[in-house]
Formats: sequence, structure tokens, C-alpha cells
Amino acid sequence: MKFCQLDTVVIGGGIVGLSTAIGLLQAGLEVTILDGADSDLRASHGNFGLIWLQGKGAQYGAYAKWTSKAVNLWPEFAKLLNEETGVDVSLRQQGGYELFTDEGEFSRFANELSDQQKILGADFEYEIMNGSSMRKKFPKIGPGLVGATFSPHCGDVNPLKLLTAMRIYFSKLGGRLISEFKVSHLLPFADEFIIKSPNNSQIIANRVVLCAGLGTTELGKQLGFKTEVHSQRGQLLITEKILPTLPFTSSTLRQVDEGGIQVGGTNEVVQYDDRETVKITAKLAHHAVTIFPSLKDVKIIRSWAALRVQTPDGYPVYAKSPLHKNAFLITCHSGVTLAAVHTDCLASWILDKNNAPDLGGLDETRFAL
Amino acid sequence: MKQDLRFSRYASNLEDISFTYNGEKCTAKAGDNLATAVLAAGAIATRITTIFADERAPYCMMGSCFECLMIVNGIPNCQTCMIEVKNGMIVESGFGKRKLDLEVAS
Repeated sequence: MKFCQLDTVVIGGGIVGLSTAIGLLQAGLEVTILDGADSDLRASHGNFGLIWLQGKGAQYGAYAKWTSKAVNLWPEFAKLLNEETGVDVSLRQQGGYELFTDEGEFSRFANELSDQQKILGADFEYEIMNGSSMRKKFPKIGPGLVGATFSPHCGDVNPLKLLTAMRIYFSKLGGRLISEFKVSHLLPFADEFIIKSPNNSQIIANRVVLCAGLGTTELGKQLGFKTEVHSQRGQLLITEKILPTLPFTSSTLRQVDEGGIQVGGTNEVVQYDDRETVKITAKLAHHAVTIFPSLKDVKIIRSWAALRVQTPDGYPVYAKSPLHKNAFLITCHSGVTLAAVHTDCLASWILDKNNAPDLGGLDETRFAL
Repeated sequence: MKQDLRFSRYASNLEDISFTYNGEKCTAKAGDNLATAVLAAGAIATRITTIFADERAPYCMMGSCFECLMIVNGIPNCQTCMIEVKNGMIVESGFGKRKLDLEVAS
């Protein structure tokens, strides 16, 4: 039987696990990430790469404020990653649009932004534009666009470069990443934790931080957590590479720094099926040509699907185990947007420092019966 | 363009056709695969990669590697290994990223 004793173990090497682990390393801890298999359901390998504030937590102040803090930290975070790793994550944060082809959805979202404004006050700017003023500003937009919202806080990154940069930075700070380590059992033992894999590898840890994406529910239970997550499938298309042409970033249509135009924004509840479907990909293509009819001749070169991690109310969870000191659970669906604040703030929360953020509104007591 | 000796033809009695590659007149036989016809006509590099501007040529010949992208009758990024050459086709080597104007009114 293999065996080793470690200080802090982060379970999950996706964007959430890495951003948390980097913060813990910066705080001086000895950190090991246990990462699963390449074939695991990895939201970090399939996402759209948005840094997004508009609409987030419009009905839930704690989430709106946390996301606002994250988007404000992003420029500095991207700069740090670039300086430390040489990887440019291609942050573009000059604002972003939500594009609507349905009147009802447009007015509902406009109302949400007004609610979000009440929560965030001067920290949140946005604009509402009808279809014709959008077409005046961007003449190539088609008649099917009924309206759009804009917020200057939003933007995007190249999510794969982000993952690469965080991996490099994690190693540079002295973090150790063990891949192909599937965690099947988490057993509290005295003040420590025994972490087991199905092939009987065994690790003893002083501290466990669960960032296991869709594996959160099963593993969390073993440490007394109540949070249950479910999967939500998002499908995406990417076109052939085009010279820079898309005049803005939006939540459903964006041009990747390398040239392809990515189309996304669907969601379906389908358990653990991460295959794309013709029905939904056709819908995405239709959306793209509704917004910009001249995209009709552009070739789609790839489509894929990935599974988002959703909590019951859609807001993140930061929980300390009610039963075991030094066991933590972190899960959210906006791992890219929140990466900046996770790196900056979660270590002080985990270590109970004076400057720890108040995450009371985002713990798991809201799911208690 | 000079016929390259890398290819030998098994079938005979096929109809002759002609196409142009980067402005030069080339010949092929009816039913030939376009990527093959361009290679047989002597081309070496048939496109430039979009990010690093490296030279590339048809490779997998089965539609999966995207190395054979060329401009066919004015349409950029065509997978030539999946296209049959036609008489009069105008073929150009792939130049990198496609141009598309989404900003200015047409």
C-alpha cells in the first residue's frame, strides 16, 4: 500500500482548485493538488471564457458583491499571471453585451440589471439598448436582434491559456500536482484525513479543500457537507479563424484571440452526458446568423459540449465542514470569473485570518432543511 | 506546372480536365481528388498556418487534420482533400485567416 503524509490537499485541479491552491501557496502553505483522469468531466476544459458581472446575483446580494470584487481584481490577476508565467491569458475587459432575440427575455433581463444596480450602486454600470440603436452603432447586426444590454465591467479570456498559466504558476510557487489520482474515499481520522483512491493509494492530509466540480456531492457527504451539485450542459461552436472582426464581446458570441468566433450560451439538464446534439448546435448557428447575417458563409470547424457545475440555487458555495475542522468545500459555475477573487481571498478565509472575506451569505446553511 | 513523379496513376482512359493553382494552369483527370491533384501538379506548401505562419501541405487526406485548406473558387479554408477537382476550378494556396467585415456597413 502506498502512503504519504501531506499538509494541505486540494482535491480537483480545474480552474477552481488551481485558483484556490495558488492563494494557499502565496499564504505560505505546502499544497498538493490531487487531479483526476483526463477523461473526467472537466468544466475547465470546455468553457466559454467569460469574465462576467451583468446579471450575476441580481437577486442575491452576496453573490453580486463577490462577483463585482472578482471582476475588479481581474486586470491585476491577468498581469500577475503574465509576469510570473509568460503566458498571456488574453484578457479583454472593455465591456460586454448580452444580445437578445426575444422581447420577453430582453425586458426580464433589463429588470434584473436594475435590481443588480440597487445592490451594487456605483460599482455597477450598465446600458440598455434597443435593436435599432444597436444596428445604428453596429450596422452589420441583423433585424432579428431586439435589444442588448452592455456593462463595462465584463469581458473575456482565453480559458485554455488561463488553465495553462495557472498550472505553471502553481508549480512555480512550489505546488505539487498529482494527476490520475481519483479520490474515492475521504475519511476523517482524528484531526487528519485519509484520502483513498480505488487502487488503494492512500494519502494522509492535515487539511482538505474540496474543489471537485461534479464530484463534490459524493465526496462532500463523507465530510458532513450538505451541498449537492448537478450538471448543466452547455454546447458550443467555433468557426474557422478570421482576422479580428467581431466589434465586441458578448455572452453568446465572441471572437477568440486566435481568430475563431465562438458561439455558446445554451443550457440543458442532462445528467452526465457531455455530447453535443444537432438540435442545439443548429440553434447556436441560427443565433449567430441572426445577430450577424454575414456569418452565414463562415465555416464551423468544431462543436463540443461541456458540463457546468450548478448548485441548487446557482450561487457558489464556500463551506467549512460542520463536523471536521480543516475540511472545506468550494464550488461554483463561474470558475473563470471568480478565479481572481479565489486566488486573492480564499486562503485568508480558509486560514481564518483577520482580513478574511465575509462569505456568510455563500455558505451551505442556506440548503439546510 | 510540372507533374511530380510522387504519384502513379492506375486507371486509364479518364477524361482530361484543367484547373489553375495560384494562377498556373494544371491538368488532372476527371474524378481526381483536389488535394492530390494540387500535389501531383508539383505544389509543396499549400497553406500558411494562421497563428505562426508555418508552411503546410495536405496530410491526412481524410478530412480530419485541416492541413489541406486552400481557397477554392474564391472560398477560403476549403478542405481540398474532401473535394473532387472540376474543370476550370480556380485554386489558390491558403493564406491564413479569413477576412470578414462585421463592422462597416456594406
